[in-house]
Formats: sequence, C-alpha cells, structure tokens
Amino acid sequence: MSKARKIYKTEDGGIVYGVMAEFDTPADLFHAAERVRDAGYSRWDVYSPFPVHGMEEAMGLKNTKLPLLTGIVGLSGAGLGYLFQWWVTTRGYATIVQGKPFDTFQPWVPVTFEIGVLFTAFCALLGMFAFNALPMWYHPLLKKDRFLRVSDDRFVICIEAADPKFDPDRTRELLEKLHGKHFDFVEE
Amino acid sequence: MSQIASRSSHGHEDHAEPHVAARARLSEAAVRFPGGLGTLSAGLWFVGIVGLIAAAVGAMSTGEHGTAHALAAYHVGFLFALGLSLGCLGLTMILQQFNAGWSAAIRRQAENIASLIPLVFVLFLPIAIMEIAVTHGKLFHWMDTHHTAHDPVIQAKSGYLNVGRWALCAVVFFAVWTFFALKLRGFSIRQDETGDKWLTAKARRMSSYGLLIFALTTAFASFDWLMSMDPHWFSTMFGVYFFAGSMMSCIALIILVLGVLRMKGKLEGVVTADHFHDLGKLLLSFTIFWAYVTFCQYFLIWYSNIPEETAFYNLRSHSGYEVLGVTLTFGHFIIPFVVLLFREVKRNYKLLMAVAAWQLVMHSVDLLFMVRPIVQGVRFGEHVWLDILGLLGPLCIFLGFVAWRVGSAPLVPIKDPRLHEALAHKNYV
Repeated sequence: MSKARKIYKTEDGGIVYGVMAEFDTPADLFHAAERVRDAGYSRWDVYSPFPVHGMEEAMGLKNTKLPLLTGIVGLSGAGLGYLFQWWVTTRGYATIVQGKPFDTFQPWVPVTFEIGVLFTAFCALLGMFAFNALPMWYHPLLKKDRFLRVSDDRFVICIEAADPKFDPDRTRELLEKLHGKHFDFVEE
Repeated sequence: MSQIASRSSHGHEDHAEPHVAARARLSEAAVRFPGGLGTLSAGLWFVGIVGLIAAAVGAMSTGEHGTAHALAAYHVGFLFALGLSLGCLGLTMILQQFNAGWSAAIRRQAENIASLIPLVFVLFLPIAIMEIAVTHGKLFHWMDTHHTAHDPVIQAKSGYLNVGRWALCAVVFFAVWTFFALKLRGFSIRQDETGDKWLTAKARRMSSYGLLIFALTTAFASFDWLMSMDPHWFSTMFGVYFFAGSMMSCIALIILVLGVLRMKGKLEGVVTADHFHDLGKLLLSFTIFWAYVTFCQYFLIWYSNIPEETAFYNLRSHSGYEVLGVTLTFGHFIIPFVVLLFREVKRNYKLLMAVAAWQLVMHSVDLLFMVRPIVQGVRFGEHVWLDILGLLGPLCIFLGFVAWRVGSAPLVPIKDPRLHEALAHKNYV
C-alpha cells in the first residue's frame, strides 16, 4: 500500500470508490468474475443474493491464512495455560492436594486443553472479524438504490478505484464486454 | 449450480454436469479390478506364514514362558485384525444409518474388510483352543481355576469370568458380526446388479438396530478378550477405548486401500481429493477421540489412586513399558494430531497414506502396551523378534485377504442411489 492511490472524481466532485455493473443471472456473474480475475484485478468483489458455488475459484480467491494463525494462537494458549499451572502449583501457591506431588503434569492436562480451545475459539472468531474488516458500519455501495436489489434478484460486480489496474474507461469497457448492465460510478 | 459451471471454460472437472461426468468416470476400467492385488496379497500371506512359524518356534524354544509370550504376540495380531474388521463393520453401519451421501464412493472397501469377520474367527480359534485346552490361562489367568480357587476377587467374578460363558459369547459375537457384515455387503452387491434402490433402505434399517448390537457386542468382546487378561482390574471406559482404536485403525486401512487403488490407476475421479480430505478428517477425529478416551481412563484412575485400579498402570509404568506409554502419547496422538491439522496433508493422498501407515504402526504399539505386560516371566525387550513376528502372523494373513478381496466386486457400489452425490462431493473448506 506504499504506492499513492490515484484519485478519480465524478462530475459532482465526489471521490470515486469504484465502478459497479449489474448482471441478470448467476451464470453471467460467474463468467464475468472469471474474466475480471484473468484481467488481473485484485480489489473487487461480487455481490449475490445467495452463495454461488465455485465462485472463490472464479474470483481467484486464495485460501485464508486464518487457520494457521488460529493454530499458532491455540498452541500458544495451551502452552501459556500449562506454564501458568506449573507456576501456580510449584512456585506461586504450592498447596498439598490429596497428597499428590506438586510437580505432576496429569491434573494440568484438562485445563491446558481448555485454555487451548478457548484461545483457538477467540482467535478464530475475532480473526474472522478482522480479516473480513468487520464490523463495517457503512459501505459506499449502499448509497445506490439499484444495489439494494442485490439482496433479491440482481448480481453485481464492483471494481474499486483503489485497484492498481483501475482506469475509469477501461474498467468500464471490460465490464461492458462481459454483458454487464447499468454501469455506475460509486462515490465514497 | 452445475449448469452454470458446465459452461465455464476454466471449470474444474468436478463442476461438470453430474450424470454425464459420472458415466465417464464410472467406466469399467475405473471401477473394476478383476486381477486384484494378487502379488501384494501373496507377499502378505508369505510374511504372515513366516510370522506364524516364528511364533510357534518361539513358543517352543524361548524357555518356560515362551508359550505365554508367543500367545501374547499372536493375540496382539488377532486383536489388530479384529479391530480392523469390526471398525469397518461399524463404519459401514454408521454411513448407512446416517445416509451419508459422500461416503458411497468409499463404502465398498469398508464392506469388503468387514466381511472378513469369519476369517477373524478362524484366527481366534488358536487362542481359544490353546487357552482352554492346552495352556489353561497363560493369558487369561482366571481360566486357571486351580490357581485362582483361593482368590476372592476372581471367585466373586466367576459368574461372568468362566470358560463356558466366555466361549459361548465368542461364538455368539462372531455369529452376529458375520450376519451383519455379510448381509450389509450382500445388499450392496445385489444392488450393483439390480439397481434396486430399496436395498439401500433395507441396509439403513438393518444398521439402526445393528449399531446398538454392534456397540454392546464390541464392548463385551473387549472386556472378554482384552480387559479380562487382568482379571482384578476393570474400567468402564474400556469398551469405548477399544472402539476408538478400532475405528482409527480401520479408517487408516481404508485410506491405504483406496490409495493403493489410486496408485494402480483405479477410481480416478471417483475417489477424489475431497474424499481423502474427509477420510483424513475422520482419521484426525478418531486420533483425538482415542487420546481423549485413553487420557480419561488414565486420569480418573490416577486421581482416585485406588490400588486395585492403579495396578494396571503400575504394571505399565516400569521395566520398559513406560517407553511404550511415552511413544503412544507423542506418536499416537501429538505428532499425528499436528500433522493432520494441515489441509494439504489430508488432500494429498500419498501424504495421507504415510500418516495412515504410521497410525497403524502406532495402533500395534497401543495393543502391545495393553497385552504384553501380562506376560510377567519375559522381560520387555527380550526376544523382541517374537513380539514383532507373532503380531505380523495373524495380521498379515488378514491383510493378505484384504488385498485379495479388493477386486471381488466393483470398487464402488455402482448403482447406489447416493453415488451421484458422492461423485459431486466437494469440500468448500
């Protein structure tokens, strides 16, 4: 993100967020997504009233790194839980319980496991929010009345002006070639 | 969404219209294997026979406890084979009962292995005959009524632990398992010819009560043939423990069988990376389940610290057996757990086969850890060759039959009503 983003303005003087196009069927959307992917765009999204199977491949989305992060955080949590119990039972508050030795791993296993699960769950949930940029209170597309039909019977692709390959005319031409309709510039 | 994807120029093959694609993928060459794995099974039988001969030689030549040692080694191999076939029977029933669409592509191998239960009965006979008629309780000490006459614990349990009931139960268990295994496979094979979809419903109905009977018989079989070797000791978790190990090992074996078939160029596009992915998930979950059950059993006994219960672990925490315990903790759980977490390991069938083979070795260590300490007279580490070859004897004979049976029917239930769902199966996560 070090490169300065080129700012485009609409006739009214608003800053362009991106260009959107509508599609009539999920099939058109699917094939348009493949072409946008092949054209090398990276900052764009498709909007559909229902999940379209195979869309992640058509869009060229990579697998999320969240599982790896979750795994690392979960294992660290388990390790911390183990360490904490070791410190409590042998150093901090050594107390004889049922005549068992202080430094014995067996009773620590369930808590280690639980803390591992706890950290994993928190990391998976919060990481999902963070990776999806949630909570998102506002989105420029919501200003477009036509866009609201995307929750009913319309399919939309929006390519953002922040994309390094974005060019108001050429991006629009591409979407036109893909049988897109009702092009519109979206203001931020 | 299939009609969208079929128009796609970049479409993945699995997106293609299901029925058309299925016809191409279910070609005769892909789903039939008349030659079978003949060479492999001959090799396994050879190893098995060598193992049996070695066990017999070991029984006679390694001193006064040689017979007990050889019997224990053989018993480990028998229990391994039993767990594999029982696990496959349980898996078949679960998949039928839950109408699992994805599993139609892999179920035939489970049916094949489950139908070897009569063979496992044959493998059981030497143990039963030796213990009842010849060795009189070298493994099952309670059978030795002469020496246990003054043991109040065993006397109190004699209503259950007596040879008559033990032998009768063994026959009944094997009869019940054989009935279910042959029936379920029979339905499936008949459907290959007739295409009668109601056979699926029949199999499903049979699996419902079958699962209940399977659960009870498996648990009591594990009490009879594994837990009663230490007749003073008891654990209510033991049936679950045996079940967990059996399911884990049978899924590992199915992965190996399907992997070998894929290497031979069979089932291309029928058993896909997505099926291996799901089998890998099952392997992972039963690895975790095994660890959970095993630790629970150990933890409760450790915590309550009652001598009659701790004796079991006391026996296994010195004279070399503690090495097995540590090996199991890391080798059977921690390492495969971390490795199987990775998506690529589950989706690449060759990597998954390596993990499955590793888990089968670990399962044998697990059974050895259960059985071997019973033989008090022979130090652990003495005559290790007898432990290994005695185990390989019955196990390799069983695996030889598994390889021999692979091509005995189409490699997938070709007319199963759920097969199209299985062929279109995709893991989106």
